[in-house]
Amino acid sequence: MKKIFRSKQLQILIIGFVIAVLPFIISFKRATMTMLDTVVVYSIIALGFNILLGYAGQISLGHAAFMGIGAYMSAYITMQLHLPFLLSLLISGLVPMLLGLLLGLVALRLEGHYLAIATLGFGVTIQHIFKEWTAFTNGYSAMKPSSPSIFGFIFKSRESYFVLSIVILVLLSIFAYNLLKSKTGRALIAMRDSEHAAQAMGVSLLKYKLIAFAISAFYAGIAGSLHIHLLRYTDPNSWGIGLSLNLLAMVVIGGLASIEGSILGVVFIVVVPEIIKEIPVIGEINSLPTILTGISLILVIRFMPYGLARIMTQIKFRIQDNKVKSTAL
Amino acid sequence: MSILKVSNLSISFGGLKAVDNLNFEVEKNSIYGLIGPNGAGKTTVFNCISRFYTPDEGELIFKPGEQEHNLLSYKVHEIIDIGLVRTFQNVELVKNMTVLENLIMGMHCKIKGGILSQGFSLPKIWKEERKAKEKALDVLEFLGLKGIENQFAASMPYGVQKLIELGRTLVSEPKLIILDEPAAGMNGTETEELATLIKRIRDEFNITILLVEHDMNLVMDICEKICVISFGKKIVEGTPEEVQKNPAVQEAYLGKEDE
Repeated sequence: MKKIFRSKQLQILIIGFVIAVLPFIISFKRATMTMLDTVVVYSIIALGFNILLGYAGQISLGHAAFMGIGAYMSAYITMQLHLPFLLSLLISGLVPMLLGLLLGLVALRLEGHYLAIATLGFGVTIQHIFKEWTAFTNGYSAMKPSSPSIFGFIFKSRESYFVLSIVILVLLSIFAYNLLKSKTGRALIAMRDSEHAAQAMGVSLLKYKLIAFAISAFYAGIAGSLHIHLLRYTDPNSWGIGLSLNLLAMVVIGGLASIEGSILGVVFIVVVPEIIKEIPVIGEINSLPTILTGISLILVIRFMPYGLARIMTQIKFRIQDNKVKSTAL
Repeated sequence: MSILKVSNLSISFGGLKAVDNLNFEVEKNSIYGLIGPNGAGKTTVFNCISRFYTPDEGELIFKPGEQEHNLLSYKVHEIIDIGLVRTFQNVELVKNMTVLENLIMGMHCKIKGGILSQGFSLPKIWKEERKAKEKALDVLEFLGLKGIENQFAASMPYGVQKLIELGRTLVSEPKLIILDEPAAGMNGTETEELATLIKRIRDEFNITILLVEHDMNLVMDICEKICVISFGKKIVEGTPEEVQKNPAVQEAYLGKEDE
């Protein structure tokens, strides 16, 4: 029995369930609910991005593009083709995944800074395609899909949407956890820490770079689909470099190579600015959230390189170190 | 019968011939040493055999059993699957993994299961993982390292890390292990223990060993045949006694007497 409760998969399920029913116990304002929904949606893309950056050690500064493609795909399928939402959700994950494979091929040839520059170029290109290809994206007139419905149930209220997105986040978290605990996860970590060791042990860099990019693009696409159906609005400006950089900040601040870290980072980046907005005087400075993000990023990299998720472990190690030092003296 | 045959191997970097028309053969179940002064091209030869480099010319034939493999038609990550595995001069372990996980890395090709079955954690994946874990623990026991399996590999002393790397090659059930300076950074006692261990690996698992080493005591102690190279060329090949007596070897290492 004890062993079952120690299983991470079950823990994720329980935490997910508790959080999902929370809005039905405490009633939040609509704006707060929208914020919570957004946190869950961004958690999905952050999770995928962390697999890429934290586990596989591959950078991408164009991930907003995958989320945008997922969003437009999903809106197009439900609005123009009148196909069910669940199908659109799946396709809006799969199409970015195929494009992710292309980026994976690029990553095989480029490393570090050069990969960052190339993916940045990819992101900018896709955003401009969104602007020009109005037949698909409706350009600045925006896409406005209706609330999604699954088997006749319409997810119109913010609370029901919260449950829907939590279910998807829980499933994707468990999938990510399982994958990272097995052969694929080990291969990604080995590739990140030592490409030579990974290759000598039989890890094909080509295969695992493709896998990392494909999975993270899939997660991004799913997040995009949920995002557009939540806000029921999107225009090309949403999918630019700003979002890509925010994503990087989320994952780094939350904790690289940590599933919990991905989610904590999103909470930090989305919720903290909202709290600041409520503070008088300071709250009136419009760009404060962005400034704060930048400063936090620097502070986190400098003082807690393992992110918010591992802060307790870091403190524990610090105390142990001090003990060892004091006994040594 | 030879398990590895290197013929006419040549590779150059920017006009400099690092390996020049090198030929040697490694007998099955033997311990074969490749030695030479610094910069002689030993590691380059290893990198060609393990396919990190593609030689300009030459042939590399690997014959672990009945089947003969032309190594040049394999990619670097494919050779472990046909039974050829290597270690590195400066220990290449995965820092952020435990000792056990590092060993399991050696079984990467042997563990079955696709992405989806891993993601859904199907029972067949558990079975594969359990099997891999048991095998890794067995090897740790053989190396006398039981008890540290859940520690981080990077927190281990250098000598232990070298053993872990050796263990990682063993779990892949290879036919030929190539060791790049296994004794580098080890003290006298550790080197002696290593010598016994390498012999045991050959005797108990029937694995052929090819090694590059600077520690002459170790080489002369365990190798049955030695190939000395200098400036990418073979000077002499023979038993430890023959090599030690050879004037060309003394010249390569110490310079000419009358200079």
